[in-house]
Amino acid sequence: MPTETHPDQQYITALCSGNEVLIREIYAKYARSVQIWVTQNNGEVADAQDLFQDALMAVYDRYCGREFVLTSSLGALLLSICRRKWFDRLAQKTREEGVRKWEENRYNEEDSEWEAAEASILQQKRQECLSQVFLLLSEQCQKMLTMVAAGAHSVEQIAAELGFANANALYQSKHRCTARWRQLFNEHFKEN
Amino acid sequence: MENSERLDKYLRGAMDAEEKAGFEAQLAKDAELAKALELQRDMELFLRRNTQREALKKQLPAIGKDYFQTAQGAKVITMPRQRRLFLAAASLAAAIALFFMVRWALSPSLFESYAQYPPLALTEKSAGADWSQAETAFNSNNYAEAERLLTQYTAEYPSDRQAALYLGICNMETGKIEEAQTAFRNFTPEETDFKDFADWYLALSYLKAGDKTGCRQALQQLSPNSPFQQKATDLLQKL
Repeated sequence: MPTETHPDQQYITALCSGNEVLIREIYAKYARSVQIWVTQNNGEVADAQDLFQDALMAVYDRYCGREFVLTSSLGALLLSICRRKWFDRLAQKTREEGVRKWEENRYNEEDSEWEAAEASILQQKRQECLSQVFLLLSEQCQKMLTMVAAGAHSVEQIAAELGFANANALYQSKHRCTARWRQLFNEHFKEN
Repeated sequence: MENSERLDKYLRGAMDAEEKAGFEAQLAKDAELAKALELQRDMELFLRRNTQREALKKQLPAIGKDYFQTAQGAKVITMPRQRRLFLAAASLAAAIALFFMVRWALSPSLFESYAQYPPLALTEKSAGADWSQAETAFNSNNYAEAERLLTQYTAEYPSDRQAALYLGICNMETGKIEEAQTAFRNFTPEETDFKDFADWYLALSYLKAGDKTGCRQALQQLSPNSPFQQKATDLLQKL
């Protein structure tokens, strides 16, 4: 297995920072192959566009904000994620046929890419679920957790801004909010 | 110490060497704790990058439309003159339609053109605390912040009906339509200073929610002496 950093790592860095010039390069290089594959597998161009951006979000969720080394092509990873997602959608529509194709596809993929695709999709599901249940927290909880994580202000400043007596009271409340958020995630998250 | 606090302390790097070693040893043999740590990492990651993630989600469709097109590789075919004229006319019509659509898209919505409020002036009534931040927030259209401060203010001064009215406006502007409508409906005919305002804003809240029928009904129920009668008549025509 190769261990050197792949030149496509720059694209993931660009995706993480929202660098439009390089994100356009990702589309220019890899969108066409996804479009061809999807339209050859009972999909429309609009499906391909939707899948591609969904796959980019999965890559974002898997890699951005974490330390990582990309050792294979981003294009291969994106295509792998799109295939997996497309077969999942087919499986929802026509369960039997979709599953059969999914299984065929499963054994044609290189294991490392397939695993990376699976990990990306799982991470995307976790982040989506965290996002959904975060909105179930009180506004005060949402604001406090966001402000503390942003790190732009001291804990004392945040405590004063949100009306807490002191930093300790803020921490106590933060732990209660975090615990509730975790509980909501565990209640709502489904891996498959 | 609860797990949540220990996980937090570990991720913040706030444990001393001994505590950290003990925690990591426990992590190695406790799958549930390892799972909780992974979730805590994901939660922190979510909080750190949520704004950027949402921005990317909006950015990608705009870029994608330039790279996914149905008519790729179409051949150039010479058309008969009549057909060319027809297409030229159709293009002109489309351009005119596009012009009006862009103008429509750039113009303020019906709600925005009616959603104008008198400035909030709370400080006249507050004796102790400085509530001018709530006024500043409201008067500069920062409704989320004004809502937060007015919620505190109304808890301290529950009898201040003006503050309750403006809190309802903030609810409406931040999309909490049900809360806003409850606030506006709470005004009784005896509260003569505020009732007409509350009824008018109730109608606007339906407009904000896209409920034209509800808006019409609320407008028709305005008092005949309401200072908003003229605006209501105009709005009913536009609806």
